[in-house]
Amino acid sequence: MDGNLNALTTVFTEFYYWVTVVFMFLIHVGFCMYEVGASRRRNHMHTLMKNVMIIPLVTVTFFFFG
Amino acid sequence: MGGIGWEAGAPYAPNSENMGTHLGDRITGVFWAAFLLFSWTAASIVSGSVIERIRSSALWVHAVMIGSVWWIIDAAWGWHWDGWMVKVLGYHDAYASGVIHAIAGGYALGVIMVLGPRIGKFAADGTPRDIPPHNPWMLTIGLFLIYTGFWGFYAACNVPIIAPEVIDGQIVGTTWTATNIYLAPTTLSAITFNFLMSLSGGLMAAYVVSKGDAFWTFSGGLAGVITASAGNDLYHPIQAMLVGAVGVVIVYKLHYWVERKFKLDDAVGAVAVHGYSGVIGLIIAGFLLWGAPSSPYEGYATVNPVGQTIGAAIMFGLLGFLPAYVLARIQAAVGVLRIPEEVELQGLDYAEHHAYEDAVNIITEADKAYLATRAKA
Repeated sequence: MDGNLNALTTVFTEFYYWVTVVFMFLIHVGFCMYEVGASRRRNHMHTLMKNVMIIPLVTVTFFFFG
Repeated sequence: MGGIGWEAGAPYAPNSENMGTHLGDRITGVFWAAFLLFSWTAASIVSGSVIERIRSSALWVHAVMIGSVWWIIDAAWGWHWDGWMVKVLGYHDAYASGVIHAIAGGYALGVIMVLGPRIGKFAADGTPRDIPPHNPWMLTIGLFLIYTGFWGFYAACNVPIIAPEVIDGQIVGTTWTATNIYLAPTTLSAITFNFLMSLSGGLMAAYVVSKGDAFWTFSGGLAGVITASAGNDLYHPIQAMLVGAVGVVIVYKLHYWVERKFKLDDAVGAVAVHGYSGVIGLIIAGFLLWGAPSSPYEGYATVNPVGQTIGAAIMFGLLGFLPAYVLARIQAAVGVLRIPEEVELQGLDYAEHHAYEDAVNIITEADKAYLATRAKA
């Protein structure tokens, strides 16, 4: 009983973070749209690429050094 | 991931046994990802302020510094039950007014002070000009997606379920509960009330103070949530609404005062919406939650205005503004911070992504040529 309860807690916690993390991804969709919307037409792709590439760069540095 | 606490970071080290499938561990990866998404957020907040004039490479260095260095340190100091700021100052910042928003706003301020305004933002006599968004619908949907993600962010700040004995016996009783990041019991129900009420307080106050300006009204919802975030685990929903409303009014006034006084071009208002809101939210929490426990652990300082104000100064100034300003000065001195003037006037897309423009030109020419041959025939 105790073993199963612990397993349930663990799997619930795992799933809970997995779901909330995916929700948080929307923040970045939002930032991309917001900044592209706010910038003038001649700067769209630059604004977008600068935002998108933050994702892998921060991920990799966070993995190795964070 | 331990910031400067190496021991706390050990399970997350690249050489940890938790890397790869490890059936004895199901939490490390998802918990790491939650913190990683906060890192992205801190970096993306900075990126909005500097659009249309910074070099991408310069911004990426800043993104890595705030996302993978400074925010990690601030979380170890003030967003962990064992952090020294929580113990000594009674620092309380449940949903990251300070540890994400104040630091990112301060960081953005440090960068734009060195970077300078976009060409044309200020008239010769220093009067600021409005550079309107080219697509208000994108801006609106973008902000609504940020609200949605922010809702998930609130949930991700909680520990979903924990047994009392795991919290070192600090909680009496046998009920398993969700807790905030300081391991104090809370519920998703309570923070959902407060999230929505502070969002609404912010939206309404921003509508009034900006006289119905769409950009400020939508951003104001965000600013309302951010202002209330420090204490949103303990506020009553009505308090959350009022705190959000008060925060937005101060933030709006402060933004325009700073813009005029210091000639700073904060392109999307990130310094205001994130930085000022975060700082104000921390200080307000110091007064409203005066004497409340900062965490369930005995012997820790309780929440107080002085501790919260010092905490805000550490987040916004010491870990945000200062490192950003120093790094940006170095980048400017070496000449890698800002794009050349002629490129800025021409538009960055032409300089960096001209392949697209060229392709459009080629295909337009091809269409013209085709039409010309058809006209002949």
